[in-house]
Amino acid sequence: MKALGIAATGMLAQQTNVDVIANNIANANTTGFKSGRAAFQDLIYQNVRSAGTLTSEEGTARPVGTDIGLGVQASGVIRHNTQGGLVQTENQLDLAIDGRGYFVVNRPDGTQAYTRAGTFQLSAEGQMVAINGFDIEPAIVVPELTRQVEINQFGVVMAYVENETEPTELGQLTLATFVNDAGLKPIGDNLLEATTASGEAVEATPGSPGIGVTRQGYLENSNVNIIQQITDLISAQRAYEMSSKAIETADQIMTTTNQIK
Amino acid sequence: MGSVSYVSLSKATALERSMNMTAHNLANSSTSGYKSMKPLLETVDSPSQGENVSFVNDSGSYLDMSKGTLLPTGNPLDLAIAGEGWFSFQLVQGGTGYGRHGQLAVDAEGQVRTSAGHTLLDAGGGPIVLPAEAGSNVSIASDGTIVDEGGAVLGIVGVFDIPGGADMTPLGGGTYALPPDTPVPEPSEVPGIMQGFVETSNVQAVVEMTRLIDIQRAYENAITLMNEDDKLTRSAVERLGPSR
Repeated sequence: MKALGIAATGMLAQQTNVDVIANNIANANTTGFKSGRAAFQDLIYQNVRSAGTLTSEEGTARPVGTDIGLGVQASGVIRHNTQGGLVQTENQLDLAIDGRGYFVVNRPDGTQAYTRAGTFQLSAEGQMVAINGFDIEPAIVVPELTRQVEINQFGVVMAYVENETEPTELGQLTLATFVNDAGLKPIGDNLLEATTASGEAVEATPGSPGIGVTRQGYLENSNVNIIQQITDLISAQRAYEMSSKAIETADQIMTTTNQIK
Repeated sequence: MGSVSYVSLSKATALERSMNMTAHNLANSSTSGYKSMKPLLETVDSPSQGENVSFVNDSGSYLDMSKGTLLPTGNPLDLAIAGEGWFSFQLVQGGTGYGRHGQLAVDAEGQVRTSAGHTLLDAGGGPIVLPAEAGSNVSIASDGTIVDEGGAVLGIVGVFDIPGGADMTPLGGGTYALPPDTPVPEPSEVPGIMQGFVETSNVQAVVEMTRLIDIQRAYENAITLMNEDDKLTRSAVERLGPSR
């Protein structure tokens, strides 16, 4: 009785589905979060009889074969890289990316990570850092006694120091883009890591052709569509129940088999 | 010996395979582009001693070719086919397969693939490569033409007409192989590609759940018949056997 195992793959796949949906809902208010969707694929088939086998010497052939499918598996979680809504925060170091690209963050171990969460702060030395304290690449140091920081849509950071009327240019932010955004690996803390699937980071300044622009005083909301997640959750639960019914039926069939004298 | 228990056995065996198929369909009720499988049962006549005895044989399976519903996802690389055509894939294990599963992604080289790794082919049978600048930021017209933001054409998604199709062999991963000796399918004249949609599985939950009940009861039926036949034989032995 393969049905037990087949139905179990169905329940496992729906469990993964619910896990992904739960993570999406939990991150509905996470800045720069991109919702994921579990993709399923049917497993291999056991070929009991092949189509096209000759059924007579006159060349007539079996029109259909018997293929028993062995269930389903979650083949991956596809991250949806659509733009999240921009919310105004009026915090001068909050940055949102409107379009493609990721901010580049230097991790303490020397490697780089990528993020769309632009909740930047200043370190004790005045350097712009991500909310977990990691430096932004390129390094931008805001001088002491700065009245105001201005960041334009091309990522150029300018500071008005003391009573000066002309701003001082501190540097220009860069954004990284990837051939396959969906291939980036999420590592938590709003950070993503480059993988062989995503390809190498291509760095460019904001506002270049095909690259997003930076918006000061805004943050990018998550792109989680709560209504869709809830409806997906309902259908996942029902699909889970249906597979469990198949297990129940297979069990009852085996009970019946045991009643043969 | 009567053939009653063997007829019942043939029924029970056929039902067990139907059960496996139903469990597989239910397991794939969320698999995009999945086509549900149906068992094909046939009668095998076996006249013996003037009686007409018919066994049941599950001679094969076929695909239910009805369309799933189209579900909007908003993901630019989710493609669904509104018409009758099929996408063509270069399979990981080699060869060409067809499928209506369109949850796609680009790999590091820019090739468009399914999550199982099968490469989507264009109308000419070549892979589709999206340049690094475009990434997944492309729009795909209903005829399959892929254009980037600047309007440059990057490729054409191939959609092929497969008449019938119920006799295709499922290969897993949302792909199907054509039966042997089938001519190479022609590109469809009305591809009807819809970007940002996925085709859901065409498994009808109610039908499959009803089949579960049906299979269970029919199986019980077959086993009861076996037991009744056994009882009859036993009572015949008891009555006709040597008297005590």
